[in-house]
Amino acid sequence: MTVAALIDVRRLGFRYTDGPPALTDITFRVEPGETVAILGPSGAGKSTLLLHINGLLPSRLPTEHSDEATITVGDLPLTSANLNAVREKVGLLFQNPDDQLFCPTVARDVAFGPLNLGLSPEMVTARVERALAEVGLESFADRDTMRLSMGERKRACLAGLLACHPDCLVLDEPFSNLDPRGRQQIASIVRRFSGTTLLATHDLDLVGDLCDRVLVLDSGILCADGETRTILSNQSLMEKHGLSVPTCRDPATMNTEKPSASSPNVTYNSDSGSEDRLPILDHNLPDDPAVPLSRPPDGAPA
Amino acid sequence: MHIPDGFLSTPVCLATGAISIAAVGYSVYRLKHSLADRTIPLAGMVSALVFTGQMVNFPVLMGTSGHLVGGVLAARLVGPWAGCLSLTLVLFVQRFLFADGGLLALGANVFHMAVVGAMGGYAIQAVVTRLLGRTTRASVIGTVVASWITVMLAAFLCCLEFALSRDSLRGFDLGRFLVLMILFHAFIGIGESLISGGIIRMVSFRRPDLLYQSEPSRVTRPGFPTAQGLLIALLVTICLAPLASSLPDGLDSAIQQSVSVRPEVDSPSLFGSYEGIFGETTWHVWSVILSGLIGTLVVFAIAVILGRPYSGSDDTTPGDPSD
Amino acid sequence: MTDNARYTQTRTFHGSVAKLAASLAIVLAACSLSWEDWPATGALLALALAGLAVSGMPLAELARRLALFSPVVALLALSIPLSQGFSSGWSLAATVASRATVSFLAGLWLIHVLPFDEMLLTLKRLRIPDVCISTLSFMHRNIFVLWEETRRIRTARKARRFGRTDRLDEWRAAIGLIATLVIRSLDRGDRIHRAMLARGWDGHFRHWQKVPASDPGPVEPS
Repeated sequence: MTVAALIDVRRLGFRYTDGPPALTDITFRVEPGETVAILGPSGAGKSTLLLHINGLLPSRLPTEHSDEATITVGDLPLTSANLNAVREKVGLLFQNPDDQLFCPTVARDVAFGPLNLGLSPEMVTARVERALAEVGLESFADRDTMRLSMGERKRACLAGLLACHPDCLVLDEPFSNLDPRGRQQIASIVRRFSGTTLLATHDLDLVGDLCDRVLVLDSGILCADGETRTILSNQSLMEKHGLSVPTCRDPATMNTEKPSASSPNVTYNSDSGSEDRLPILDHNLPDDPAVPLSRPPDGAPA
Repeated sequence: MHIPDGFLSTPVCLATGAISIAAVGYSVYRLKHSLADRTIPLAGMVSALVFTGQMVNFPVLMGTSGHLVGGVLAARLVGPWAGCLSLTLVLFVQRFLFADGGLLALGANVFHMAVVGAMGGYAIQAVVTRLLGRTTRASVIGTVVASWITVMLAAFLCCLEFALSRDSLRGFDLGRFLVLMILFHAFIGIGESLISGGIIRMVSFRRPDLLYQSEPSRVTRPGFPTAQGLLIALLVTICLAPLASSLPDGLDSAIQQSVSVRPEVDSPSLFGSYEGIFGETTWHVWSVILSGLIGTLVVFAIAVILGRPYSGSDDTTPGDPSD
Repeated sequence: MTDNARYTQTRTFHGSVAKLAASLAIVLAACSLSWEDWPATGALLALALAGLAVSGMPLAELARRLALFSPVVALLALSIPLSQGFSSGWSLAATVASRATVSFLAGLWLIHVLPFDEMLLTLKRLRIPDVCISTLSFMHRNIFVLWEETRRIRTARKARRFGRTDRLDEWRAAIGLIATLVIRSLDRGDRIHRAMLARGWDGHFRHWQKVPASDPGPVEPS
């Protein structure tokens, strides 16, 4: 049974061997049931951060903050003792589905997680069938994992995660390399998932559709944490971190599923020809609505 | 390189098979302890890598082409144990997916390429690297030398097994056969050392972290001077070559004697023809020495060329394909 | 597991072992015969060919495989008389070639009637260590991944080469190709390892076969 779990990351720092710090003093919290996007340029440390939530970078090298770093998923702090318990709660989707599908057939790959959970063959079969149905790949069970389109591969990977009944999904670029229909299929799976979702992506249109909150990560530093609408429409913030404000949609109408408050005033700059579709912020909005997070307030609520 | 069925007798196949099973079994045992949960993805990936690497053709002459064997390469990437397992699996898949190499001779092939190639190759390159002072350059030279030696050793073992397979060598001069095999494999060995050395050179300059490191400390000691190394190698060749080429002669005569004991196989003309060949000059000893010397010099040249500092401009990177 | 499923599995297992044994028997028989016993060798050859015909291997496929196989064996067999100055060793060469050919055809028949997956299952039942079987299955899948990768690298290289090559260049490029493959595949191996850990991998491969639909199994408590 999926129980939405919170993800709480505090003062996380990480450095790869011989490299600059990949993550510096990251602190954020995802409430149970929330869908949160991590935005940021390539190489910002998004994948590194996501791997941490699953405890997959054990060789954490000391940085000045690492002593106090904690990651909590649900009620479990991530330590080497309950690593597997945390991994059971978190379903991590890798960027490249070929890294994740390694069994000969789709069904066997989906069965890999449940088998590792120690379930009986009957229960594994039931879970595999249900997970495949959830991602719309019922007829692909015996298909060779090599003979799938990119979208089908990603959905097969997601089925592999869903079959473990995770409490939260952590998705690394789930929409990359997909055609619009493939993106919508993944998005609808994410939408239907009842647990907590944390996803790193460059697809701002879908972020606007799916996510309640957005984190902006750049050069390993968490630069912004705020409501989707507020952050996506903050042009200066977005451009500063190598992101662009969604071009084909009006940020004000984003997140239509959530009955949000009054939409901010948005005007369009019509005199510059090339940029005439870019929404320009109304000056009524605060300059930087995002909460600066380089120094979190002391004694933040647990 | 793959021995087909029929080249070796069934008892020899079984004997080499037993050696291989023992060696691979020991590798698996070691892996279970050292690599634990990484064994399957790592060894599986390196097997697939060697398999794919063997399918890349290197043009030689007149439309013929050679390819990588990969024992030393695999050992250099994942160590002797995983390397041995990987090469075994490569041979297995080649047999049971492409009917490449013999079924009975699988044991012999595993012995030559996985046990001698990967495990032996690892040992040789470790010794050479240590002698040369544990630098990147030393490790490349070690790979070159180990690749050459393992191929030659495999060819030599193959001849030995061939000799053991025949219960009678009537009118068959094993020495000549050995010379031909050694000469032929000298070329293969040079190709192998060029390929493996080139690959390890590129990998160790671009991603040294991917290479297998038995000891975490990488202390650089003053290395063995190259000239002295060459001198020693040449001396060893000169001393070993006559030994190597007289060994099958000894084996030959031993077999002949054992055959002559058996009355039903004994033939009076046997010793006559044998002495006739033996009475000739021991030309094959000299040709083995000569080919050994030339081979050693060529391999040394390769080692020095590949071991030079990496400038980055001399290697054509094969394009940056879209991922 | 239902009785029916267990029965099917056992039957396939016995079938696979019989196929393996048959192939091995032909190879063993062929290897005990020398060139002088050509009628017996011919009979074995006919048997292997008949097996291939019954198994339905296309003639073109057989010809292609033989075309790849025969030069190698011919070279090895010829090297025996060649080393003797073509004065002797011909019968030995003929023996090697005939044995190798029969065994090759028997092997070809085996791989045609015993798919790789079934082969792995059979090996498992034959008590081959699990590590080897799982690694084999892992390798088998990744061969295709790496082969695709090789093709992409090659195509990208060809696109920039504009038809000009020489042998040294080709060697350099092929070495570079494998080196790139080494780097990418080991990195990929690391990522796959992580993906496996993320789904609870502990170093033990658990095999699972789909339980037939006739047996719904207990409803999962959720």
